[in-house]
Amino acid sequence: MHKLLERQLRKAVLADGTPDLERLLAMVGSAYDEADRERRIKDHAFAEMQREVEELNRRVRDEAEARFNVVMQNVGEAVLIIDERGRIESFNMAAERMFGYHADEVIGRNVSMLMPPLYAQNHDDFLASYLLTGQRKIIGTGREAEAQRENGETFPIELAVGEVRMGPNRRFIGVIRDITLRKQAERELRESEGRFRDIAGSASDWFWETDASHRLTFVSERIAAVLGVHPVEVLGHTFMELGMGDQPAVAAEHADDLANRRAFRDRMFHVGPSQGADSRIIRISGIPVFDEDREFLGYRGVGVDVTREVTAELRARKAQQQLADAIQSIGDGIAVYDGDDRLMICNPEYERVFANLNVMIVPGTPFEQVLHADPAAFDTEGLDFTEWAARRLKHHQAASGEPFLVRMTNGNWILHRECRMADGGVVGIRTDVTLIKQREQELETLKQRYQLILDSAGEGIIGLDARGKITFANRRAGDLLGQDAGRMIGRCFHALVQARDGDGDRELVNSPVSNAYGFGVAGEVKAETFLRADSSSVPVDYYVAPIMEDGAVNGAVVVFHDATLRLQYERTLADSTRELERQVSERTQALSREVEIRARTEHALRDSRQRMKAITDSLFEGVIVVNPAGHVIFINPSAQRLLECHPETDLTGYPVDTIFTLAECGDFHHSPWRRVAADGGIVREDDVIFVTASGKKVTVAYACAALEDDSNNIRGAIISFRDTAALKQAQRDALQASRMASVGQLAAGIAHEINTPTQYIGDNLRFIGDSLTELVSVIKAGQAMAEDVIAQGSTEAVSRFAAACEAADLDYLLEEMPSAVQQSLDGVSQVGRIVLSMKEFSHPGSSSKSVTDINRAIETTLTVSHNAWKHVAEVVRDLDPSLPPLPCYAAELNQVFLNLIVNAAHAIEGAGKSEPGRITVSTAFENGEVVVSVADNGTGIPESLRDHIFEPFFTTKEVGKGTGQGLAICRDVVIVKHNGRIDVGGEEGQGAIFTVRLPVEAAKPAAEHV
Amino acid sequence: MQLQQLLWTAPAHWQVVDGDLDKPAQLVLYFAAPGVMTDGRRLGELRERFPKARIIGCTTGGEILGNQVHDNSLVATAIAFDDAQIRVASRNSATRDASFRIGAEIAAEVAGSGLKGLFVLSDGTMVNGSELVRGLKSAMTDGVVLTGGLAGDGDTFGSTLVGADVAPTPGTVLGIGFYGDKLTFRHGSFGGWDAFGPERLVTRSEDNVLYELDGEPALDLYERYLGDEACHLPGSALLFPLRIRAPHDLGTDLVRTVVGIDKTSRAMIFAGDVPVGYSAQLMRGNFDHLVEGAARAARQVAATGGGALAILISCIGRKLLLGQRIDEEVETVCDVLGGQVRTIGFYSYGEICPHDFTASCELHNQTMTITLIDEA
Repeated sequence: MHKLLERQLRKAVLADGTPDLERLLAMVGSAYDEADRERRIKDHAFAEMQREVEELNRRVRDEAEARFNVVMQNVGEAVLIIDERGRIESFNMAAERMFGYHADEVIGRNVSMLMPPLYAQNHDDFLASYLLTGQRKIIGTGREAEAQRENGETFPIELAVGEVRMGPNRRFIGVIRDITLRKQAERELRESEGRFRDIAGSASDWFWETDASHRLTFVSERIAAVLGVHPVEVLGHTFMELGMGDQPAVAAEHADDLANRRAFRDRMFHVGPSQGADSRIIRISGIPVFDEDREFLGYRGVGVDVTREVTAELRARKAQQQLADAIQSIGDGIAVYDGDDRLMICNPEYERVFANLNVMIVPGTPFEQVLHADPAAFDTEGLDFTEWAARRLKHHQAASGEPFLVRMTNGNWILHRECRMADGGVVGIRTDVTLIKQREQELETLKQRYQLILDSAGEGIIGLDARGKITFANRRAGDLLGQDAGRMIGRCFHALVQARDGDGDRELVNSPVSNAYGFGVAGEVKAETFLRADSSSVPVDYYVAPIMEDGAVNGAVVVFHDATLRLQYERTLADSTRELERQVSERTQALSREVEIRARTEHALRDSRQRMKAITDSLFEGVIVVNPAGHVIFINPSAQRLLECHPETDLTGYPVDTIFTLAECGDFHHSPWRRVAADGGIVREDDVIFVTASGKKVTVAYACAALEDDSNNIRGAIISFRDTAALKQAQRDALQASRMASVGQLAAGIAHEINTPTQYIGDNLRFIGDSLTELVSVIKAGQAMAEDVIAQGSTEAVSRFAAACEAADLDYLLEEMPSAVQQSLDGVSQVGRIVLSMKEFSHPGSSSKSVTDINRAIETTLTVSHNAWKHVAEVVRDLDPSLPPLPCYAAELNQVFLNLIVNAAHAIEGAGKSEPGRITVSTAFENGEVVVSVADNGTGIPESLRDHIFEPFFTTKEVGKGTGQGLAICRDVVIVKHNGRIDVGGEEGQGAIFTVRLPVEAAKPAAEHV
Repeated sequence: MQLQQLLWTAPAHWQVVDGDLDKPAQLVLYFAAPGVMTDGRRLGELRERFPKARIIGCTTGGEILGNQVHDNSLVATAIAFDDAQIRVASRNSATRDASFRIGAEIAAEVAGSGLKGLFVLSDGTMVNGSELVRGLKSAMTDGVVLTGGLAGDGDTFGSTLVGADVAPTPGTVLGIGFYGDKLTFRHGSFGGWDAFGPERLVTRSEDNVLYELDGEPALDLYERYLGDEACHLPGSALLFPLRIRAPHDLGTDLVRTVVGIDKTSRAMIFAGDVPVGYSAQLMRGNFDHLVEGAARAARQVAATGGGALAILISCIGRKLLLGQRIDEEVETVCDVLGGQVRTIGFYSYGEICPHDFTASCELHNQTMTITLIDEA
């Protein structure tokens, strides 16, 4: 039975075992339905699949065709398909473009229409032959051929033919590439190569190639003309073998380049014997050549014969060397600067001229740098160096060739000439003309002296040149002729003095002047008449002397004087003789007086100089005079000693800042000396530090004043100073002594202060001691009474106790003893306070500042000085509680306050006023300063004394009461040590008020404390 | 190992079909038609029979017991191991996105020495089976056999239930770990479907939702091929499973069965992932080939012939196509396995078993998958 039916039967069995036929039939029916359904689904699916596959096939075919067409139409080459008979079936767009036919025009026609007649004739035969024999001639190989366009033009093509079999039919696919351009390019390449060969043959360079082992494989023909060798002779050789190997340095560099396959340029070496006439120097450049795979093939490059250039360069170098040698040997200093103004070469003389600049005189240094190397070397003639240097640089850059003089500070004169060179550089020529210049100056001095002499001469003197023109005339000559002496120069002497009438010339012919000129002899004329400018005449006596030069007359000198007097003399000789004698006598006397006065004056001057020197030499103060440039022009021995300079050294001319500087000022340019030397005025400082050349610090007081000449022009600065170290020490000692003295003076008073409480403490203690004895007896009586009362009730004991109480004056004791104890305790604390104040006051001064409560310091001082003022005054305290703590030298300030308070007490005492004395001590904080004022209602200080009270050893107190140091110390402590101020005020007769101001912030000492 | 097999049907109620236990069962596996478990009485009755056993099972698309296929029934096998132990890990809040994580958690929970095999039952519609298997594999020790299946809901693809000791619920995934030196775990799986028609390319998909093949909406393709049967979608699509294959990989053919459609986006929803770039080919079933496929799966198990238990999990798609002839595949399997092996199983929405070519566990569709458990 079928398995399915078996199962169906099994499932259709009813509970009683009989089959349920209805159910069985339903299952069977259902099974058929299921089978049908399965078949139906299967069939449908297969139909669908078939449809889908067909669709897919069609799509693939269409896509392939479309793809083929796209390729056909877009391929760059002409593609055409022909059948077995040569008829064109397909003709793509590239073919249309190439042949000039539209596809419609060629499809169906024989392909030979696309060939030139020669090919066309044979084409059908080739095709037939192939189909018959199967022997391939072109199919699968491809070749170059000729084709013909629609317009009849033939052109070269590359043709490839493929065969396609489709069933029994065959098709041939031709792929055609137009190679016109390629052919043309090939032709051009051939032409280019030919051109290259021609150029290479005609160029002065020659071309070469090497293989990978650097052996020449090619050299252009030109090498024959250059080196006289046939190319064949060098082929196979390396450059090393051709001569480069003889030059190790070149060879090493070359080998390195070759090893690293680097390009090289301009490598020069000798070919052939290096000295002979045949010696050639060639220069080669080359680049490495690689194939497409970066495989090294060799080098390719050019060579050129550079023998002539090298020789020329050698000659040029030699010429340059000769020039350098020449420059070296020239006596003038010569320097050549290049176009950038940098020194190229200079000779030893140039270096010598600028001896102190020689560090800078090295090639490559710009001129401007040389100029600025040592500003002090040049005498800028009063100009600021920067301005002078700018002018000088301008001059240098102009390089006009005009000579000009530069003066050096060492006194030398250098004549400069700077000429422009063709290449833009500058040649500077320096001639040391110091000697000439000195001569010139001497000459000028001489000339001036002569002019002076001439001018002061009492006679007219006129110089004439060879042509009779006036070359000089002295003042007297001008006066005599009524002319300006200067204006006479250049005029004709003759015309000037004698052109009175037409016969002037005649007279002159026989005159001593013409004689002087004509015969070279001197002559004298008396009572000649010279014409004056105002046409009046003046009688003169004159003397003519020829000026001889090299044996010939080169001019003449005419000396004349007014003969009026002489003529008058002659006329009144008799009258005059006496007068003259008198005059002579008077003149003589006057002269002798003059001589005497002059002698005295000179003597006085000499004395004055010596005295001056003696004074400055013996001064304790140091004196230094500097010029505006800061150079010492005078220094006395004290200054040298104070500044620790060797006494033998002449410091004149030294820059002052090399000898000493003012601390915190640095060099001369920042010093007060320069300001004073420039602007005048006086600067004083009492407490400053000079730093000597060796670095030692000297505490000095100095004054610096301007040095003026007679015309009030400032010529420099005078610095006078003294070492204040000793003074400082003395002040310190005085301060200390003063403090000790104060303590000593106060000691008695303080002893008294302590004595009083000590006395009553003693009295009280004694009283308490006595009282205790009494109390002991009272207490003992009390004890006995208590015992008796307990034992027997006796009244006797009570009476004894009462008697003891009576005897001891118990009430009194009980009243007084607490008071005595309290008084004693007060006394002890008073003593303690005094002792503490003493301790605080006499605390030794500290070398450094400590932060101090000024109010407390004042309280301490008042306590310590209590005995000094308590009998004459009351003290009113007005102390500002908000006073900030002040960094200060506390012990020294205590001394200040003490001095002021004691002074106040003395002033009140000295005033002898009836009203009670009052000292008001107040403190306040104002404008960053602690202000302490001590006012009294004593005598006050007269206005006239106020300038002196702070001077040391000044006192108005009676002898024995003051040392005159108190206020001086106050001033020193307040001003110098605390940078503060101390002022005195108040009305005379009403009392004085001293005000001390101490800055909190800038509480820095003005001087250093040791 | 002792086994007792029970069958419940509406008219006949409980029948002990085979076997007897002389010691308490540790595990009761049951597979029930949809609706059979809803009133909770069947579970109570099982609990009464096997008070000490873990009672674990799921809903199906058809039940297998012995060499017969049942509908509207409940089949159960009670197992009393000699030595072996079991451990059950369960998660009942499965979602598609959490599938991987749940798989990994379950595998991690049952991991331990002596673990021989892990048998997994999972919700069949709310879980992404492919991700679940990946998650399980990610936390499993080499050498442990992983098998199992996705619960079914007849041919309606509605609510699928899984449960351990309590009434089965949707969204549950559970794994039974089998431990014991004497245990052997074998598996076999085969489809027997024939690919046909052109090979297509998955051009648009998202996890297990296939939108387009060769640019054509997937639903359009199925409708074309189903013709009149299209009105029975998605059930009728089970007739045309999809064979998918990774690019350039000939050895990893997987069969995907349709579990739903989305008419709005013209998409087909499969029981496992259909990745973009995979090639896909329609398959159709030939009655004889399918039956022969089941026999091949049985031959892979190579039964020892002893008193072993074979759990058969076959695809609902096979049942829909084979109709009344579905029994033939079970009979064939039983014939191959031999008379000593007890069989139980169900028609599922997806089978979990190592691939016969790659040996890597995969989610399968449209196969007969056999897990053989023996304690020698």
